Parts: sequence; structure tokens; C-alpha cells
Amino acid sequence: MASSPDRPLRFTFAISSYDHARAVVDGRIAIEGTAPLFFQLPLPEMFRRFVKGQDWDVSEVSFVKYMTMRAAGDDRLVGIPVFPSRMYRHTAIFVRSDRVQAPEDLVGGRIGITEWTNSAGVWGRGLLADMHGVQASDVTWYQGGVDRPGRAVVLQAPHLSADVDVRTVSDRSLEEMLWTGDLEAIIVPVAPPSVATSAASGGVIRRLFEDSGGAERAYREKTNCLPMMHVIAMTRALVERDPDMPARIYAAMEQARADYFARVRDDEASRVPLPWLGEHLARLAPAGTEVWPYGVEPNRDSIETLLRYGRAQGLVTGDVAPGDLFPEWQSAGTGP
Amino acid sequence: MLDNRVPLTIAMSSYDHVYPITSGEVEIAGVVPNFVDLPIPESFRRFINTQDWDVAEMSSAQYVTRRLAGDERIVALPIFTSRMFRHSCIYVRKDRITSPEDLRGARMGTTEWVLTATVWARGLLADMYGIQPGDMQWVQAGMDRPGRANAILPPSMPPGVKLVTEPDKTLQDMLWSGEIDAVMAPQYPQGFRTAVESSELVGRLFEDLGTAEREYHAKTDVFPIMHMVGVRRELLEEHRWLASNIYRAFEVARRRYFARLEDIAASRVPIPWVAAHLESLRQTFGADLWPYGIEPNRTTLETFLRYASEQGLVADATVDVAELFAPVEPFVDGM
Repeated sequence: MASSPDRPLRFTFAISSYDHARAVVDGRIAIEGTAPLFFQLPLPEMFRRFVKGQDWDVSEVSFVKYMTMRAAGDDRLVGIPVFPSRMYRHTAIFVRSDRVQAPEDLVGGRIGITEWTNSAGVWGRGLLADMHGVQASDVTWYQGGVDRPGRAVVLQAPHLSADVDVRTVSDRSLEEMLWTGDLEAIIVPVAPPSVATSAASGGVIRRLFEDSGGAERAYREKTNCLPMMHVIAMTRALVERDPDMPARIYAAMEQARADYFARVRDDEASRVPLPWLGEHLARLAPAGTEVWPYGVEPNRDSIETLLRYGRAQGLVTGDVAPGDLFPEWQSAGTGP
Repeated sequence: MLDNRVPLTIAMSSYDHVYPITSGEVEIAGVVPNFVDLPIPESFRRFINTQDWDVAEMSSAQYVTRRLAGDERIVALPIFTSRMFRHSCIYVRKDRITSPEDLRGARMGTTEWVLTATVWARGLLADMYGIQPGDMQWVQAGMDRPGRANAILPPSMPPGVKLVTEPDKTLQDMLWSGEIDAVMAPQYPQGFRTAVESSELVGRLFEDLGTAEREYHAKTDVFPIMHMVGVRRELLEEHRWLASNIYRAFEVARRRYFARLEDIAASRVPIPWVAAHLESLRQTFGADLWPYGIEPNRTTLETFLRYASEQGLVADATVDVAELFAPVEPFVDGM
């Protein structure tokens, strides 16, 4: 049944903490006609429970997992092009500096990952291929728990090519294997303390890109990407209850995003304690463009790049265009 | 359960570095807060004049003016919610003023004399370019509607400074008609800013704001403080723990903000390369770029007091800035 002013639609929405989404979560910006219940959980649990069991109605979810499901024709989840978390993942690649000095040294090596469909890993492998010619088939991949053995694999790659060697380790952690030299590198969204400490203090385990800012800017120059990690998606059942939900949630999230940047520009008071932030942002986005856009068109290069990585990494097959990932939102006709 | 916590009304505007307090995520120990977020001028006026709130963000200029005139009803805590360089608050007629030195002899419009932003703006003109307040003729009026009440008046205007009030005109009209050569105000209405965008006649005095502001910081070591937190004195007398408990909560919230910027699990703020920006700020301001407390802010506070004295807000600039604040226990992170 569709919502109405006297019968607000009640639904559950899991999302992590973001300054650019906060106004929706604390209710200052309403999702029209609804009475949402928000909650926050650790990201891996949030993604796992939403992808496997749809434990709630709307969720932040791994964009790679969403893309993989949607491209395979699994349309239990309905996404909208709202990307709360975006980061370059050059800083997610850690290497044994006694064996790897340059990205090209990874050819023939063993790299640990949390699972093949982890967003940081997909973008990390993509940048190694695009910028340094290191292909997925050049490396032996070990998926496992980062700081303890065993990690449930939420989603398998459906179309993995036979020449890509992905092994699962369940009795050792990636952290331990890196220290004992059974791995040359790991690509992990959050580094365990021993790895982070070593990298910060110039120990044997280091970041592959010591000048990550320089490497990230070169990648941006070449690909025009601002990698999206997460997307907002909802259950098919919610959309069947009210087909307007993709458009309404998008409108509220977009309003919160725009409000964030309006607050940065506020000349009445320093809403954000970062002097000269406006200058920093202006350098990143030419006049008339957004630094951190939602929607399909302003993100076309980033989404197409990820789809290309998806095809190379066995997540996506055939012709899938960015708009094909958001058909319900596109048919609502409410955004770029 | 018996709740003996002290209920306090706290007027606070919206800041990302304060948000954990207003959201309730970080508690002020011993306090049940009732947060009020009204437009800043009204919120400040109602606190400085009639103490409508128990704890409130307030204007640095209004506070020092009143406090050093002997009004002790409010005591400040060294918590600085809003800080901004104020080079951006001066607009000029570009056909007449092309550099700060051209302001000598000019007619400068302003909305009110005792405004923190304009104290800093007048101070920077004096310190950096030798333009003293007395070198300009001051015209006070409303920005886009005639008539503007003073929240508070200075005890005296500095010798040689002439200010005339134009109750029937607006600064905006006078600037475009050429009756004044420039205008200085903390904030401009959207209509003004839109008009400026398509105007050949009116623009910022400092077109390259970042450069001018960095030069000012390099020369003075000042990062201007706009707002501070004040508490009704009688509450501090009644609850001797209150000042330090409030201070501690603001410190925790501020630290949480900066820790979130470095979260690698997800982008908590939508700013690509925020780490690089933060690093460049740390090179300018030091490791702690937004410090609370007196000592890390001494130069800024002393400079402000000097400006306030040069501009007639306070008679005595020799007071130690520490005396303007309630003593608080320094925040110690860890054991």
C-alpha cells in the first residue's frame, strides 16, 4: 500500500555515519510520506545481512556486490545512485618491501584479499591493471580473514575466468601469512594494527604507494574516477509497496548532500572546522560540476570503469550500461 | 531512578565539530541539556542582554565589550566554535577601490560597530595595510532593509573615528548608487551575492582570498576566533564542576571530528583527499589546527583584545586574556 500523509510508510534503513547523510538520519530532512527507523551496524555485518537475508528494507551496501547481483539478473535489490562512501584504494594495498618495490613486482606474486567481491579489492585490482599492467591472472589470490582465520564469503564471482587463480584460506589469517612471507601483498579496506604500524614506521610491510596522493591523482587524471565503495539499495518488496520510494529516498539523500556543501560555503560561521576547504574543493571540481555527485550521468565514468573491472574480474558479463543498474530509479525520472 | 542531573538550556548553532554533543552521542557529565538553535544574531542578543539561555555560543566582541565594562553576569569558557579569516567580509566599488590602500579617505558602510567579524576586518586593515579606522568615514545602516538596531553599543568610539547612521537607507543601495565606496559586514544576503556575481561595479576587496588570509596568518600567527561559549556566572558558582565538564565534552566532540576524517573504513565526509588538505593545514597551523584552551590561542586572543581596544570596544587592553575565562581542567587524552 502506498504511503500518504496520514499513514506514513514505516520502514527500516541501515546506514553508517556520514556527515553528508546525517540530516536524513536525524530527521531534519524527511523522506517524504515515511516514518523510517534508522540503525547503524558495523559495515561488514550490515552488508552481509542485507545481501543474504534482507534483514531490513533499505541499506547502504557494497556497490560491487549490488552491481554483480544486478548484472546477473538478480533484482531482489533495487539501488539508487547515491554513493555515501567513495575513496581511492591505493592506500589499501600493503606489500612486503623486501620483495615488492614497484607495482610490476606483483606479477607472479601472492596477494591476500578479504573476498573477491570486496569493493576495495575490485578497485585495487582495477587500478593495478589500468595503471601498471598487472592483470588478475598474473597473481595468485588468497581470500580469507584479515586478522583472524576464516571469513564468510558473501558473494562468489559468477563468471571468474579459468586463468584466474583464487584460493580460500580458512586456517590462517592474511595478516599472519603476510608476516611469515606466505603472501607478498594484501589488499584490505582496513589494515590490522600490526600492518598499519609497520607501514607508518617504515617497517618491512609498507604501502605499495608511499606517495598515495600522487598516485591517486594520476589515476584520477587517467580515468576520471572517484571510486564508489557503497550504494543505497532497497528491497524489491518495499518498491512494490510504494513504487515512489526510490525517487523519495534519492531526493532526501541528495538534499542532505547539497546541504553539506552549502554549510561548507556558509559565511556566517565555520560549520566545518577546516579552513580553506572551499579552495580545496574548487580545485577538484571545475565550476559548474560537483566534487561528490549522486546520479548516473555525473558518475558515468566511474560506473563504466567499475563495470569494465567487473567484466575483467568475472563479476559481470555482457553489455551492462550504468543506467541498467538503476532502472527503477531511472523510470521515476527524478535525477541526472 | 532518581535523576539529579542539572537541566540546562544550551543555545548552540550547527557545527560538525560540536554535533556529537547536540546529538547526545557525547554527554556533558551531570547535565541534562535542552538544545536551542535559533538564528545567530537573535540567539546572541538574547544571551548577552537578558541571559535567555544557561549556556550559549556568543559573540567574542559583544562579550569582551560587556565584560570589560564590568558586566559579570556571563563568563566565557575557552571553547571556540566558529573561527574564520574575515578578509571575505569587505566588498568594494571596483571603479574606485582596487587595493586596500585606496580605502584611505573612503566611505565605508557597516551594519553595526560591535561585531566580531568587523573587529577582525578593521584590525587586519590596520595591521597589514596601515589603514586605521579613523582613516575611513563610517556609515551605519541595514544591509538590505533600512534601520538596524545595535545589539550593544561600544562604550566610546575611538578618537578620530566618525560614524554616521543612515536609518532610512540600505548599505546595498548606497553601494550601488555610489554613496559609499565599500561595505564591511559578517554576512551578505543571497540577493547581494547574486547581484555581485553579475556586477562589474562591485566585488571583493581581496579577490584572492586564500593568499591574503595566508599572508595575514604568516605575519600575525592569528586564526581569528568569532564565537566562544559562555555560561551564566551564577551556575558556575552553584556547580563548581560545570565549567570543566562542559569543556571536556566539547574537546571530546572536536577530537571525534578529526578522528573521523582519518577513518579508512568509509568516507565520513564527502571531501576527496581530505587527508592532503588536513596535512597542508597542519603545516600552517601546527598539529592541532583548531585548539580550545587559552595558551594555544593566546596570540589570537591578545590580538583580538588589542583590536577591541583600538576600536573603542574596551577601555583597557592590558588585562590578561586568561582573566576573561573561567578556569577549566585541561583535557587529558589517555591515562
